[in-house]
Amino acid sequence: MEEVDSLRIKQIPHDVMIDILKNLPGKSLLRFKCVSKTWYNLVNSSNFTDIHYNHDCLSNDFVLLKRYIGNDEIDAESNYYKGHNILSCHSIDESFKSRAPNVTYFDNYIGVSIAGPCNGIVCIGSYRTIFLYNPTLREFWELPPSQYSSTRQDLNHTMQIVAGIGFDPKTNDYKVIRIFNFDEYPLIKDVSTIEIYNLSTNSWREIDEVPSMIHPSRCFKVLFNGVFHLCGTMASPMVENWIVSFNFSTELFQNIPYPDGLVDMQGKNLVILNECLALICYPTMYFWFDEQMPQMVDIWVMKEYGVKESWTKEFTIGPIFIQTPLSIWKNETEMLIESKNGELVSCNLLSQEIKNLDISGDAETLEVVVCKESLISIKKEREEWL
Amino acid sequence: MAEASSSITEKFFLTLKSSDGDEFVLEESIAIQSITIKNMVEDGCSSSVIPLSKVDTETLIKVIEYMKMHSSTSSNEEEIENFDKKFVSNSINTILNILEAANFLDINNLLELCAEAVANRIKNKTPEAVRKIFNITSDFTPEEEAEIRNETPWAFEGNLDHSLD
Repeated sequence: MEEVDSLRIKQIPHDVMIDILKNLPGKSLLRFKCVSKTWYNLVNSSNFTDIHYNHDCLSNDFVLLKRYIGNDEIDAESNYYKGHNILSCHSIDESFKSRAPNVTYFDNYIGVSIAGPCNGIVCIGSYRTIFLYNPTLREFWELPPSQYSSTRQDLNHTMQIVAGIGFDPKTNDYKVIRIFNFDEYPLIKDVSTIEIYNLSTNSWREIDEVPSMIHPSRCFKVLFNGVFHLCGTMASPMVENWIVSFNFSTELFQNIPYPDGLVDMQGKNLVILNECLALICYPTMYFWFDEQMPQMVDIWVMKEYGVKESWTKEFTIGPIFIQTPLSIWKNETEMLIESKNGELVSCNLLSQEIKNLDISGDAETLEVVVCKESLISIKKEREEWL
Repeated sequence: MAEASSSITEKFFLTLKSSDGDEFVLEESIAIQSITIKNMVEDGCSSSVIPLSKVDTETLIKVIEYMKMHSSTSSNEEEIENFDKKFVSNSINTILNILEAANFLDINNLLELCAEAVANRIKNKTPEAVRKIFNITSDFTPEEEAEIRNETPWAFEGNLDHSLD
């Protein structure tokens, strides 16, 4: 009876089918690829994967967390405690429940850092190697080593590096930017070295040096409106701190001023709030007694992009115990922070209520990106170029 | 003419005719949530009966119910939210019929509501159940299907739902 009742005589029109399927999580769509050839081709088509990614569906949002869990053994090369970088996906609510099995990342260096997401794809890297990763597809894409960096003897764990992923809509090409700060003592350079990877060529090239020193700290980076933003310092004619932006289409750098009155010693993290570039300013600990006291955190929003006068202090939170602010989440109502002992904690921006999410890693190794499910496959995008 | 008449608060009525031949009289201001009907009215077809050959009586009753609830003046947000929740608790087959009607009548928010509801209902289902619900015959050989399953075996793990509703 049930079967007869449910059987449809006519087929659902193709565009109506797309309207239904764009609401589904990635896992369901991957399963439904075996329904029929039509469905298989639909789910694999870049037209549909774009529609699916750009469709707002709250239940398709999730948090990707990276943390490092060490052990007592010491790695001979890097002199760090041996351990693992764990990647995990979590629901975007208080339950923070796991959406997929945890992934142990290939590179066990403690300084592995995540950037993105760009169309649902993140960039994970250290001085050793860089991978692009789509958590929805559970797909990794390893970038080749660059000619330049493989000849450098001093490319090792002692050097600072930052990487980020972006997309150039003009050429439909995914790009990765990698920034090194080579410490060429006694001639200490005050500019960073930049390399760009193109998925279209699957290779790296060096571009003109950025006229500032980028701070490669693990949190100081955000992709906003397709433009990569980092914190940097201009050394000449006088030392000045800026937000440095990199446009993945034009490959041009630009300096964006901070709000007035920021203290240089403060920690700064770039985030997106109310569709604006925003800055979380928090105290960094210099003395042991700093750590015994809860601290204040300010959130500034640049209401009009690039306009210094438009910086507005939107929230002041605290005093709270904080190691590093990580991201804004839950419909931009809460801030994820790493607490003093490597615990992940969420703080409501209005009520300032604090909630421990019962997950932790080694101190100063937590990173989060708020992602949207995406069926966009880097492997397939690469095949388009062959 | 249309310009002049719209400034008067007098109510206009349209007659919609289902594929089963049943006629329904509805206020024009409510019916024009359907872009298809709105275009017909603007083209001057509103004086006679509007035939909706692709919508059966059962479905049309539901669509009219929805349009009445969503017409701007008479309902508050909470009422609409509760109505929508109840509306999509119909059987999948009924929602699919409404979805097709919403597509034909071009009522975008009804289409999005039903599309999301169907997605929610099928997201944990097996491919076999989905085939039956949409009346699709697999055109894969067993070997081809096994290969697709092998690409992402984890997508087939967990507590999958075999039911057809």
